[in-house]
Amino acid sequence: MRRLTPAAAVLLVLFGTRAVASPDPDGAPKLSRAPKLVTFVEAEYPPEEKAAGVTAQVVLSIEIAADGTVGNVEVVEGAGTDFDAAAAAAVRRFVFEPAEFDGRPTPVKITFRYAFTIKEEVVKLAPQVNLEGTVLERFKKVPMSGVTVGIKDLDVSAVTGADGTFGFLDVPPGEHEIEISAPRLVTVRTTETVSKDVKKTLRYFVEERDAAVDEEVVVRAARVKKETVETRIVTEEARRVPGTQGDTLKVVQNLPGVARSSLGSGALVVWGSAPRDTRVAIDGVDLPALYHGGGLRSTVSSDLVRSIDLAPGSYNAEYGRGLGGLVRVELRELPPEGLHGYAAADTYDASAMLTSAPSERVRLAVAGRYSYLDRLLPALGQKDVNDVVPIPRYYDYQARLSVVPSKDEDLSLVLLGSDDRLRRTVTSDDPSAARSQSVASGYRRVFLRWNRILSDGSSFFLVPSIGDDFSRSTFAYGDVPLRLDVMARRLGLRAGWRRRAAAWVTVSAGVDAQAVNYALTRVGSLVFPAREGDRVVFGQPPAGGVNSDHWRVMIASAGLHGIAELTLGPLSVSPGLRLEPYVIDGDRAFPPVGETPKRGYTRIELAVEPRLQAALAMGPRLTLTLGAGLYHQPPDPEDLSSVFGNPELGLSSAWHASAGAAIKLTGTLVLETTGFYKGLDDLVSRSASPTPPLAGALVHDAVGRSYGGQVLVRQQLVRGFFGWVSYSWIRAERRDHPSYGWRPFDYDQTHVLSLLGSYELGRGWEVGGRFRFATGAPRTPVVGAYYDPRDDLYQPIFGVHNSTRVPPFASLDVRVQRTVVISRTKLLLSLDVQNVTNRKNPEEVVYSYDFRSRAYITGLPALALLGARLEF
Amino acid sequence: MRAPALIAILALAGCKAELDTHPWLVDSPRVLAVRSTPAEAAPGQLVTLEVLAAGPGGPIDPSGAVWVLCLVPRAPTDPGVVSEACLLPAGEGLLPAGAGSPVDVALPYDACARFGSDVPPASPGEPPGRPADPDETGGYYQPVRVAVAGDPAFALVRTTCNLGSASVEVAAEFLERYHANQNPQLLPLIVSVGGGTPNALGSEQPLEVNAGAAVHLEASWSADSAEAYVQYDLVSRLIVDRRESIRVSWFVTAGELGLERSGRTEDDPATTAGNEYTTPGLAGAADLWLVLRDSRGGVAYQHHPIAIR
Repeated sequence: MRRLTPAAAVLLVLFGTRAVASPDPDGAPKLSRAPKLVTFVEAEYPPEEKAAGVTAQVVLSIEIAADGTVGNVEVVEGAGTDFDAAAAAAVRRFVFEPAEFDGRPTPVKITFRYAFTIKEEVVKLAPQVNLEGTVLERFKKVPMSGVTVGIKDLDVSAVTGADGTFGFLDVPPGEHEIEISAPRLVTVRTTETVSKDVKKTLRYFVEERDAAVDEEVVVRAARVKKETVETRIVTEEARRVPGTQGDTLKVVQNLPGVARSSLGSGALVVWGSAPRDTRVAIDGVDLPALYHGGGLRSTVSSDLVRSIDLAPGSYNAEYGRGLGGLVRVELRELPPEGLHGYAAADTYDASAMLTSAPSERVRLAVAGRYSYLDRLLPALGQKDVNDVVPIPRYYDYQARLSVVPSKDEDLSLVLLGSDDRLRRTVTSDDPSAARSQSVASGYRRVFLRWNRILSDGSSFFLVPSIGDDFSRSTFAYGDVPLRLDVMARRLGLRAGWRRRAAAWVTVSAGVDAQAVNYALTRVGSLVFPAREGDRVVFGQPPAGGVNSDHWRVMIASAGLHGIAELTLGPLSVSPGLRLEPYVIDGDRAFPPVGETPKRGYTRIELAVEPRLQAALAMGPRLTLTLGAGLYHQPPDPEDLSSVFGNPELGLSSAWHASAGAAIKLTGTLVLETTGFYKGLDDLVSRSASPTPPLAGALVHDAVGRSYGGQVLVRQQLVRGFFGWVSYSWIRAERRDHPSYGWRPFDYDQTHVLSLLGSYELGRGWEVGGRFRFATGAPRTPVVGAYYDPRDDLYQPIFGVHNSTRVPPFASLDVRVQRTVVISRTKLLLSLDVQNVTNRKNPEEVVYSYDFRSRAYITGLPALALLGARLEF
Repeated sequence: MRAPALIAILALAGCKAELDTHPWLVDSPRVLAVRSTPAEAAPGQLVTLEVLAAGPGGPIDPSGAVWVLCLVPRAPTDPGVVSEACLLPAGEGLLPAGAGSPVDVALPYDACARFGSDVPPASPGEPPGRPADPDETGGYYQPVRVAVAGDPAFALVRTTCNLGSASVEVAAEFLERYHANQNPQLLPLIVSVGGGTPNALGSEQPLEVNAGAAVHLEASWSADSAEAYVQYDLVSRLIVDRRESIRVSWFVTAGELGLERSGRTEDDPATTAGNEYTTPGLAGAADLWLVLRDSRGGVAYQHHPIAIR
């Protein structure tokens, strides 16, 4: 093997000798032996000169003592300061066999020329590792073991060890195709150039891949974006976002296109769509609620979550049944070895998780959370706090069993559960003023996920699921009873297949089937709870009479979908189609009358939903995107009551169109901007008729539209900092009936701005801040009142629908976190301070009893939340 | 953990909106009650309507009251207890019903089709309409607008209608057992000044108290005011026995009342409801009204002039 050595060749020239000791003039001693260099020390080649290829010679005068050591050294002919110093320093460490005069060792002075040269040295060695590296997890920067690193053109591979390292022997010089792969990782392919006689050391950062499909070709771990408009946040970033108390899923509320949810709601309003119109899926399985009541906390442990994707619209054909956005939550791969976990507590609740890998192929995790804020506050003296802000008592639990039968497949069995309870009572000397509320809601899900890569390179997955949802709400306004119970049992099946048919086309197909059986009971007012389009005053008891219904509904659909991903040079086009037949089956087409037997109904509707997504790379930094699609949503089973709603309600529809651009400002700083339009049709509204037909209190008369734009400037985690600025300008409107005018949507927020950032200070300290601004929600002004002597209440007379707004919201939140590593455990202490400026943000309008004066319920003033978390 | 929790307490307490209003204070002209006699009537039947109006200066003469029958049912989109069409000065579905107080008004013959359990008339070819929903006591109400002082008011006259969705047997049982509502009867007001001996004051009897005095007021009603009645239960679809709850609304023109309303639930057999009154700090005159309502719409009221020494 030949290699370049930096060693300098040395030229020793003895120009002459001269006795240092005084010679005897009568018999001058004669040199019997010249000094001989026995220990040579190589001078350090000045780096800059070496890099520049500069050679030099330095002539020095050296005194050699009688014992052979070097005494004084002087530069006689220099070559520059660096060369002179390096040569002198080396020469001082030389050792000689001393000169001898007349056979006796004698000190002498010699002239020495030190030459700095660069020469090629040929060394033949045994086989050497000349390509090596480490594979690290992209975000946690931890070594990844068991990852296959292959040199495709040489057909050789290596598997990373426990420390994530790999190495190859004697890789020929030249360009090689490298592939880094593992069953649960994004496959990374890249090229590396190996130079002759130079060892190359690499670091690869990989991430877990999307559970839904395999990632076929990804360059340098950059993900294939599934949607043209999509914001992805990984857990490690999300946990540090101020104001979320370390809750990964709460970060969704800070993403562009998402309206700020009002205090105590946690509702997701995306691109002007109603909260119920946005779907939430975890590993492809629908969840009814992303957050516990009041939005205090998410219903799934953050530590099981790998990432959250928000597609506010124009998403592809894999998903349907929603007019709004799509939130996809992906579960993370469990640690491959050891026992890990955490225990945490803060002002809201306590949580814990434990993971274990009993064998190489089996991994287990269990997690849970339990809240106590509802008991903590009254115990500390704030007994009526629940009257002001509903504080639910909640818990959730998760379990996951992962099995990796082979390199190309994995199985996961997942259990998810969530439960919320809220009970509050307001007593009064006035029987009509007493209030009570009892709410219980929750869900359970069990699903199996099977991913497999087939021998022909295609992949498929299968996700059967089963679960139930429940919601039991009981209110009492004096003697007026209000009750709504919804029980739902659901079966789901999601399956997909994907194959790269050619270099320029990848095809995928799948089915997304779901059948939900609902049993509902409702007692109370026709107009309570309020729905979109209702003109109401906060806290006003429901007017009108009461009624009762108990009904069953089954809504089943099977979304068959296919997508072709075409890559035509810089243009990527993904046309897709989703065909979804719906079956809506109910047990009661008309209200019960006497002993008349029930008459049921069954309807079949077909939704044909073309979808299109396109991206055009205008260079390495600019990508233009386009998305469009048609979407349908089945009726809400609560609206299919023959007494309170309309069993004839069918599908509502929407079409989305969006166009945007993504500009890569730096390797980690990206600017994304998107404009969009959504048209909504066949929305459900209340009948405006004084005498609506029987079983026709709701009608399909409403339409809607929302349009606007959003900008996101996002710095990914680099050098301890990440953050983003997002701004959305959105106008969302509804028209409840053809003869009505357009009005602002109840959740419309024209301007929503979020700025947030987090920085690692070092020594385990992190600080972060978040600023939010949002336009206030629309409200219908009260312009007068009339008196209702029966109830001794004033009733409002409303002005133009949604023509005023609650004043804007602005809040600055700060988070400070300290991480202490003790052996193999990590202690995190965090302090979240919300609304540090103590701004009184109006949240809702309230009126005096006669509506002559009004005031605002304000949001949370400065609120500090302390949390502690122990990881091992 | 204690410190953050305490901070949270302070924060949550800060959410309350402060509205400095006193529903019991009559500081502008307003209607305090409308009484129908009988308290419940069948369609076509004559009822006598009286309005109780008051202002800062005391009772308002109701002779200028103008009554309008509203025939427009409330649509599901209408907020409040009546159709928004009933708020218009005039128009289709608004029928003048007299002036002054009391006034006799005949309930429309089709009141139960418009506001009750009868199926509303439908145009040819149209599906049958949706009957109105009863209130929590099973009652249906014909709205009658009255304008006399301040904001308009809507008397809701309880109208006897059939059971719309009950079986024949249940409907028969209901007809047999149901008794139309009667107005409750207020007994003399019990007044106790500064914890002293209680005195009973009949309606219009004056109350003489010192300025700044603490006065305990105890409204009482006859035992049969909270009537027992039967109701068609919409959940079980059976007849259930119930009893009226009673509420007393209190109003004064000066001073301060502890409660705007007090009363008894239907499970509470007591026949009194108290309140605390602090008279103004200066001598003068004031007025006190108490309005008794049963949960089926029956009304009784009293007025007491107050002389503050």
